[in-house]
Amino acid sequence: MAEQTRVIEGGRFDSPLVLRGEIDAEPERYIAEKPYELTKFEFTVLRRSTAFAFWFTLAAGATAGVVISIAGKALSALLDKKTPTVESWELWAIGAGVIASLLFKLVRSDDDRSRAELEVVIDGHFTTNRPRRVHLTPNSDPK
Amino acid sequence: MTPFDFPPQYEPFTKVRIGSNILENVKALVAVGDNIPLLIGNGTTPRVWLSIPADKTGSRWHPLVKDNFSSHPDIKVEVRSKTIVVRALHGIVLSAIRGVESSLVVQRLDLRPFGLNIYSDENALHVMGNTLTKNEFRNMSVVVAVGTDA
Repeated sequence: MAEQTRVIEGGRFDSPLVLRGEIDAEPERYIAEKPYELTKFEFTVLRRSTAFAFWFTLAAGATAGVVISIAGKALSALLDKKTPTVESWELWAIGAGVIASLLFKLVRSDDDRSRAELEVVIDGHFTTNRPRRVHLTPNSDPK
Repeated sequence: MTPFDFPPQYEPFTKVRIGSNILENVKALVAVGDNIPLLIGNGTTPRVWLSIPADKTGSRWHPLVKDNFSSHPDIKVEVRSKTIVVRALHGIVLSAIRGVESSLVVQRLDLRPFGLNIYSDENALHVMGNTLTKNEFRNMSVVVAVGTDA
C-alpha cells in the first residue's frame, strides 16, 4: 500500500502519474498458471488432422448408417406384423465396418505419435508448474 | 519509462471515460512496474487482455484473459457488439460499454481480488489508495505508472 495517498481532482495531464504502491496480496483464488510457451510448429502439430482419424470417422459413420437402416427396416417389418429379416450382405457390411474402424483407430501415424508426445510435454509443464498458494495476505482496502 | 510491449492485435480506444476521468489517445490505464495488468482494445467487439501477478513481489505475471479468451475456468468474458463484461466468482472485474467513434465508458473495474488495489466506480478511479476524479489525460502511453520497488 502506498505510504501517502491523495486525491487528484480536476487536473490535466500529458505525462503519466507516477505513484508508489505494491501488490497487496497474491491472488487467493485466481492464481494464474505459468503458461506453456507454444511454438508455431507445436501449434501446427496440435491442429494437424490425421488421415487415420478421417478414415475412422468415415468407416464408423458408414457402419452406424448400415445399423440404423437395418433397425429401420426391422421396425417397419414389425409394424407390418412381419418377421424382420437381415440380409447376409448387411451382416458382412457391419462386420467389415467394425474391423475397419478398429484398424483406423488403433493404427497410429507419425502425426498421431508427434501429437501424443507433445501432449506429454505440455502435461509435464503443468505438472511441474502447479499454481502456488503461499503468502496469502488479506486485502487491506476492502471496499 | 520503458516502452511497453502491447499485443499486436491491440488497438486502443481514442477516448475512454473511467470514474469521471477522461483519457484521450492513451494506450493503457495502469502499469505496475513493467507490466500492464489490463488492456481494453477496440475491434468488432471490445477486446480485453488481463494479466495478474503470480506472487507478491510482482516479478512474475501470468495472463488470465487473452484477447477475450479466458485461461481460467472461474473467469468468464461476456462480449457483445458494444459491451464487455468480465466476471469472476467474487463479482464483476470489468464492465464497459462502447460509445460512438472509438470511445469507451468503463462502468466498473475491480482488480483487488488479484492483489492489485485498483478499482473504479462511477465517480472515481482508485489506484493504490489514491483517488483520481474529473481529470483529463492526453497523449501518453499509460495514465498511472506504479512503482513497486521505489
